[in-house]
Amino acid sequence: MNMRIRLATALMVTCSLLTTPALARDANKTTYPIVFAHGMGGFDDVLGYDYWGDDYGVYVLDTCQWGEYYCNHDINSGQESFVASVTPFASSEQRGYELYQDIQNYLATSGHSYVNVIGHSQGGLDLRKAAKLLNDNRGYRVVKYGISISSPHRGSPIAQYVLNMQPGVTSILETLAEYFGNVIYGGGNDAIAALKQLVNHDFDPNDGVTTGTYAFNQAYPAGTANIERSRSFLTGQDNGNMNPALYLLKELWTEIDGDGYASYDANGDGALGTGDGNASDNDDDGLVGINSQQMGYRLEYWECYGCLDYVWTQTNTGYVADLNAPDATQMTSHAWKINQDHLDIIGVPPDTFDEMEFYAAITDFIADNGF
Amino acid sequence: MAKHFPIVLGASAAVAALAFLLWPDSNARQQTVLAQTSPVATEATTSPGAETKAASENQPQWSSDEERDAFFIADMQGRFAPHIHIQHAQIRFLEQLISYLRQHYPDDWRSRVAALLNASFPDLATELQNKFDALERYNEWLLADRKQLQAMPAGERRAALWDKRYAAFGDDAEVIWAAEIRNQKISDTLLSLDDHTDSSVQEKLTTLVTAIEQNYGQHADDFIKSRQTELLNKFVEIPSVQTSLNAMPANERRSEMRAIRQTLGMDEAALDRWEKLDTQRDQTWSAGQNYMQQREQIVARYDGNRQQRELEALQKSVFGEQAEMIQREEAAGFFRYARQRRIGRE
Repeated sequence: MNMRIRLATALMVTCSLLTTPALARDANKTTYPIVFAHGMGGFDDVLGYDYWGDDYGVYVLDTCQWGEYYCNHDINSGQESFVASVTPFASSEQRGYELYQDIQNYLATSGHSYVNVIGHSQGGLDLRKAAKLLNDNRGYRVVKYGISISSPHRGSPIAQYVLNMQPGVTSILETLAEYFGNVIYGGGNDAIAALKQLVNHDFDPNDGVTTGTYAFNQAYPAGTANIERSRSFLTGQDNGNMNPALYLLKELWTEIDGDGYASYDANGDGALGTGDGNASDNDDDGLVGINSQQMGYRLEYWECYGCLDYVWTQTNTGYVADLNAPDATQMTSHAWKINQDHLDIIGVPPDTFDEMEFYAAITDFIADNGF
Repeated sequence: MAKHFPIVLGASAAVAALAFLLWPDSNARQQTVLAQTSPVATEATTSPGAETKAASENQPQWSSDEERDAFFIADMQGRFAPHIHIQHAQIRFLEQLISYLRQHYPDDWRSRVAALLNASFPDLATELQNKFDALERYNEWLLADRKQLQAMPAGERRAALWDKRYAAFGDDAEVIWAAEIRNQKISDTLLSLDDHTDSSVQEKLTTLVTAIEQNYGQHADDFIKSRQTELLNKFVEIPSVQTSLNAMPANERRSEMRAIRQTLGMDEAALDRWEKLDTQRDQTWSAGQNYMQQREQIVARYDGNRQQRELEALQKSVFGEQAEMIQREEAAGFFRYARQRRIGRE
């Protein structure tokens, strides 16, 4: 069958679905739109649907507006959202500024005054700076829920490993290209600045600039000054189920021991805290230890069979406002951790994680709690 | 709350009744939501247990594996029956099935696939089994060749992925990845516009809109309306569009931007908001670029503490309350006004 016939077949199937009643839509519509902030590397797909999508290219907040099938049937058909796009490899000072500008653009287009922001990985850091700039420049707190997913708020050992060119890393750029693709060679990227951002301390005190999550956290804390409700999802997974790209890091480079408490980077791995002596107890998601991931309150994700999945705020591990000073529980507790790796919860296959329902559940959580 | 939609499609009455009885307690859920919306003051507390109940308290209690399997089957039927004839829905169902079996039967999950397929969608069991086998093959290849795939340029990687998708799923691959195909066409068009060297900005935009119309048909306007800002951002950042916009006098540029936004379906209110933002940004960038020139002069003229004092005074006079932010950015190595401005984006 040639390409034209195959495409016609696909189109016919799509058209035949236009008359099919859509599934029940379960998640309530949020009062304020949801903005997605991506992590390091960005996305190949220009509109960002492959990043914020299922593993087959369906955008997680694509509403079913005209009876189509390829959309998220679990969300309200009026749900509003925006996919921001910032420089793939840069410091969060730069990316946060760009995210702020992108949100300003979206507010101008949509007429909204407030947003909820969901940031994955470095996007969780970026959102804190964007929230401050929005507050400073508009004169009110624009960000309602600020939710980070798998974010290295207190650093990632992998960033320091690459910067130090430890065994297996012969070139920082080539290494990043290997894992993120040729996007690293695009104009405007600064791979070194991006990596230094994700080391806890100032990686090179003699380079004339102050970098790292510690300094960034001092300037852009969580708390309620700029984000009305700070929340975070933690991820961690055992090696056997880990995305092969991340498993390779463990196999070839270093295995993160990311669930020990210390008020400083006690084991010198580039992330605040230390290990507990056991690196194989699901204490990281391949890139980030769990002791780096909590911002504000933790969120629990519960997969429900028979109803839409649930998201809850869990207060048992307390609230992390000063991201540089979490307590022992906040750095060591595995409570409410999602048993997935760093890439499962975005559209990077292969995995069996239901991205569509996960983001629908977050949407419902935000809506049910007034934002 | 629209949580508890009835599971009726394709499920037996007995299973549905069982499901109803075992449903998570709606009162508990309601209490949780109410607790969550309690005053913002709780944000700063660290007292545990103030906000929610443990999810485990809402977990249905199964008396046997069979009972839990029956509930799962009913759920899958409820979710996927309306669309299970579509290959993409079949794959999503299979992913759910694999996830469920891995979680509850980690040692022998594969041996249970056929039985659950039969129980869930008996008429499609053979087709679904074939899809499961194909998905396994495809994912195994993804795992094995991951490193090589990551090292490929985007176009080459895409071609390699499609070869394997056709090999695993045949022509069904185009239905499974139909959304990706559609997205890719829009993305390809956006990327190709930079090569239209003889086209004006408006002609390039027309090409983009035409591509959207070809892919979304009568729903093109709905798509554009739902993704206006993303499309605008990506269109204006095309290098040749930026070059054109930068070369225009300010007034001409503003009307060009207004025309672009109008073509992307923005109403008058949105256009006015944008115009205000453009004006504010023009002023900010003008001040910022002047600042950079003065900054260079200070750096060339002074050293040490004097340089620092002069810079701080300049920053305060130009940026006022934002001076501290600018100082922090510069200390971290980011100079926002040293870059080429991205017209329409900042």
